Amino acid sequence: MSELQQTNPVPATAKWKIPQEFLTAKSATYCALFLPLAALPLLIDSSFVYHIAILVCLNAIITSGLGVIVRVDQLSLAHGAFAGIGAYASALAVIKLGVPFLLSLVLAALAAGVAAVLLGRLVLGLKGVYFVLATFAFNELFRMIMLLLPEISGGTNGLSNIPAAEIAGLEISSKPGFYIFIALALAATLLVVWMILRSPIGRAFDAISGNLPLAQASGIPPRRYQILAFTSGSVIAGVGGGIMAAYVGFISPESFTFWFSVNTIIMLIVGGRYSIMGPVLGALLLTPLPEVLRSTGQLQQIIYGVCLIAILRFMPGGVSGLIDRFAELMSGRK
Amino acid sequence: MTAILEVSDLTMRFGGLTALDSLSFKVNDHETVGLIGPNGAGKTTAFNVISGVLAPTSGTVHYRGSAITGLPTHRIVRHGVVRTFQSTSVFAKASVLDNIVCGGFVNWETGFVSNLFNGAKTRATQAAARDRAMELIRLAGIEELAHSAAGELSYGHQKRLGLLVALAASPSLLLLDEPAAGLNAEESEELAEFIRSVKQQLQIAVLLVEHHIEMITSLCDRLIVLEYGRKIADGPVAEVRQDPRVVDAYLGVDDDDDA
Repeated sequence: MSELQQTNPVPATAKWKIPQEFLTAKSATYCALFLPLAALPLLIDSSFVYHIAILVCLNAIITSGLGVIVRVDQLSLAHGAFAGIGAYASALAVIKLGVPFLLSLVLAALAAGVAAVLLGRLVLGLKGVYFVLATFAFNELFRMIMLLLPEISGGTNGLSNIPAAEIAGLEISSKPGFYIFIALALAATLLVVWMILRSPIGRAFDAISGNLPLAQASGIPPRRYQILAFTSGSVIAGVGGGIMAAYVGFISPESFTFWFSVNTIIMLIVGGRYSIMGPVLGALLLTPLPEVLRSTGQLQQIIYGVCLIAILRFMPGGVSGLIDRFAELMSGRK
Repeated sequence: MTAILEVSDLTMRFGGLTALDSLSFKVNDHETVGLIGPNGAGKTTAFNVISGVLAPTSGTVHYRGSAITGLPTHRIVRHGVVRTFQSTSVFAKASVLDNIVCGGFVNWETGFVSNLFNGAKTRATQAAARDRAMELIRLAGIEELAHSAAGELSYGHQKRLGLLVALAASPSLLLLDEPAAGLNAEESEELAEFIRSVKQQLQIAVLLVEHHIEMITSLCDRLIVLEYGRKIADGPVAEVRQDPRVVDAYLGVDDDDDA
C-alpha cells in the first residue's frame, strides 16, 4: 500500500485504498443504522419478527442482484425467472439427488449463471424498452416451461416438502438459526457487490451507463461487461431463489411471475439504485409495509401506492440518496 | 514517411444513397491530415467507418498493415486508432481525472480475479493510469479542474477533456471529428495550439474533419477534399486551396467559415 501512495500524487480522495474506503461518513452512518437493526430480531425473539427479518434479508439479496444489472443501464424484468431457476435447481438437487443445502446453492448459482449468459448473449444487444420486453417474455417463458414439465417441476402443484436447510449437519430450520444464516448471506452478497463495483469492472460499468459511445471509443467492450453485469446479478438472484426455496419449503411457477420482478424493481428504486445499500433499504421499507398496513383492510393497496409515489416524487435517488446527503452533512462537506 | 492508415475503395451505401463512393486515401506516420468538404460529402461517414461505428458496404481499411475493416470500435482502439466526437462527449458525473483514467481503459485491463480482489497487478495498473491521467491534465494545463465533475465544466473545457480522454488510450492515430465546432475564434485558436503541442509531444498522426478553414490551414500538412462521397483533391494545403475544383465545390461557397 505504501509504494502505491508514493507513485500516486492524488490525495486521499483516490478510490483504491481499502482501509480509507471503509472509514467514510457514509459507511459509518450505514453501520450505525444497520448493525443495531440486524441485532434487533435476536433481542425481541418473536417468531413473527424473525419471519419478517428473514424476508427482508431475502428480498435485499435478490434486489442487490438487480442493482448490479442496472449499473450497465439495463432493466431486467426476468429477475423473477432467475430467482426461480435458482430455486428449482436448488430444490431439485436437494430432493432428487440429496445434495447438501450449501452445495445446492452453488448449483442454483451455476444454473442461473448459465441461463443468464445464454439469455444475455441473445438479448443484451437490444436497447431500452426492447430489452425490458425481451426479459419480460423470458420470465413468462420460464413460467410456461415449468408448467409444461410436471415430471420435473411438479407443474402447477409446484415442489413441496423441500427439506429444511442443513449446514454441516446443523439444521437451521429454526427461525433464529435461519435468520443468522441469511443475515450472513446478505452480508456476503453485499461484500461481493461492493468488490465488483469498486473494482475496474465497476468503473467499466459506470462508463457504459454514463456514455456508451465514449466508453466504446475508449476501448471498453460493452457487450462483455453487460453480460458480466447481467450474469453476476442473475447469479445473485439464483442464490436468493435457492435460499427462498429452503426457507419457504414450497415453490411453484406462480412464485416467480413477472410481478416478482416488478416488486424487486420497486424495492431497488425506492431504496436507491446508485448505492450498494439501496437494495437493503428498499427491502427494509417495503417488505414489512403490507404487514404494517394489514389492519387498514381495504385501504392497504391505496396507502402502499401513495407511499410509493411519495418516495419516488420526493427522493429521486431513493432512500439511500437521502442517507448519502445526511452523511455528507455529517462529514462537513456540502 | 510510411503510410499507417490505408483506406482502399471504401463504399458505403444507405439504401439508395451512396455516402462514400470508392474512397481511397492514406495517412502517413506523424502526419496531420484534414478531411474537408461540403455538408453531406461523407466526411463523418468516412470517420464512422474507420473508427468502427459503421461497417462499409465494400472496401477495406488497413492500419499498420492489419485489416481493421468492420471491427467493433473497442477492438480498433486496441490498434491505436482513437476518435473523438463532434459534440462534447464526456462522462458527465465522473471527475476530470476519472474521465481520463476511463479513457485509458485499454492500458489498465487486468484479469477478473485480480480486479475483484484488488490484487497487486490491478493496484499497479490503476496507479499507472492515474499517473498518466495527471500527466495529460498537466499537458492541458487544467490541474485546478482535475477533481471537478466533467459535466460542470465549460463547453471549451469539455471539448478539451474529450481530447484528453481519447489521448489516454495512447493512440498513434487520433481521429478528430470537428474539434472546433461550437467554439469561437479565440477558443478554436487555443484548441489548435493545444492539438499542435500534443501532436508534437506525443508524436502521433492526426486525421481531422473540420469546417474552420483557419484551423485546418494552421494545423494540417495535407488536405483531402470530398464531394458526394468521392475524393476530388488530395495534396498539400496550399496546393489544394488553389485547386479550382475545390474552390468551386467548397471553399468558394463557404468562405465565411462559421459552418
